[in-house]
Amino acid sequence: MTSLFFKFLPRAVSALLFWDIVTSLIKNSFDLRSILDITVDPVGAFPVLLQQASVFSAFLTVATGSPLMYSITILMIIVSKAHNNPNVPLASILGLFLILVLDTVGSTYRGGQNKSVRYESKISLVLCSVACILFISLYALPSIFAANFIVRLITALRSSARGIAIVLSENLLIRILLIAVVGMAFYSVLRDVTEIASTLLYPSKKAALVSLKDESEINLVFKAPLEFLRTLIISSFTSPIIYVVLYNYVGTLLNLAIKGLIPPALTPLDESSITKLILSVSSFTFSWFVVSKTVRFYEELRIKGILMALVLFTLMMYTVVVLYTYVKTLDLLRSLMNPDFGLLERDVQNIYYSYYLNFVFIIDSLSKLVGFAP
Amino acid sequence: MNGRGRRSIKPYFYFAVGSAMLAFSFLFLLWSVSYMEVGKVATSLISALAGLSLLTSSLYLYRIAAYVYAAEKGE
Repeated sequence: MTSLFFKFLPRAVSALLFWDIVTSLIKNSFDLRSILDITVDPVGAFPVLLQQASVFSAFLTVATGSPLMYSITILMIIVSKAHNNPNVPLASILGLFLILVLDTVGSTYRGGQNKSVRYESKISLVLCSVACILFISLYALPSIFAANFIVRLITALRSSARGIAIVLSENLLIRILLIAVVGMAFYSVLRDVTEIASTLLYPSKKAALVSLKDESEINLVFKAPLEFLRTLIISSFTSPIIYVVLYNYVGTLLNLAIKGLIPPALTPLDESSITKLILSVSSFTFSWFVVSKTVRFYEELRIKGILMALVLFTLMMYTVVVLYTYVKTLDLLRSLMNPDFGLLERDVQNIYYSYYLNFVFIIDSLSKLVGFAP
Repeated sequence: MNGRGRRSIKPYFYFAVGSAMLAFSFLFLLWSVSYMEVGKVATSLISALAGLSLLTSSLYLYRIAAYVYAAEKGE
């Protein structure tokens, strides 16, 4: 009986919330021509396409009742309607909460295993309710703190108008990225709080000894959170150097290759900017990969790894400078014996600003394509 | 410090150090918001990173304190 309940209710909740989307398929027939619109007007057609896709996704959600499909559908609806109405309706968040709870309880519940906290009968109702409030505040207080922190951070970013903050605050995608990162960090905090609270409420010697004796769980090598951010900062130092060399060598070839491939609809982009975009993204990913591996070697103190990374780094710098000098002077022997660091330095200094502007351009145009920003 | 019938101070010690780190993490996180208000984005993010690192380490210490407490008190 309960299993039927747990299977039926998620589908009912999602069907209720997506009712008008699901019935719109019956009301207006599915318009295939809108798919062809994307070649004529790529920026405007994308939200419409997303809306069509969300109809299919809503169907799948009602059919399967899984929280993942539900969240994907909600995301698609919000993104496709973001231009007119960027607010998330409260009903969909409550629906997500309900579906998650039902999914978790339905998959792990086994009859007869519930436990209760016992009080003496002398203790009054007030004390019981105080205990309940304390228990709820264990979850509510960190969440409120996290939400307050994020809201204050974003408001401060929007209201301060100096330097890089202007560029960052205008772009919705950066705000979303910031919120997502800080939110995920606080979420892992809440998860740990749950585990600690459950261990303190029901202390069990066997379970505690098992966890304490298990070396891999206790002797954690301390891994700082936001490792993504650290790799981002370090690799953004080293990637313009690689970019400069790639641009001088491969840039002209890529220009010729791309020239014929651009559809006429995207006229503001010409082949040189596309080349710059491709090269900057590839140099950034390459330096990201190298930096993350090297930092991991340093953290885990693998001596062979560190030595190998240092040797490779020296070789890479030498190769970069030699190639650069070769492009400028076309004399292999001279560039091998006498590579010109000053030339590379000057060019890298010039390129530093325009390199990062490439990325701002990418994020900006991405958000315009999806329809977030006007 | 850990006699057969005497209460041990080990879980309380871990708990105290964990609370100190928690207080420091709040400090760093509040500084991060104030830096963002002045317009120093990078400083604010680094301070948020420090605050969150301290938060995770304080939670790690709390977890260890809970395990030690359970190992000595539980049945």
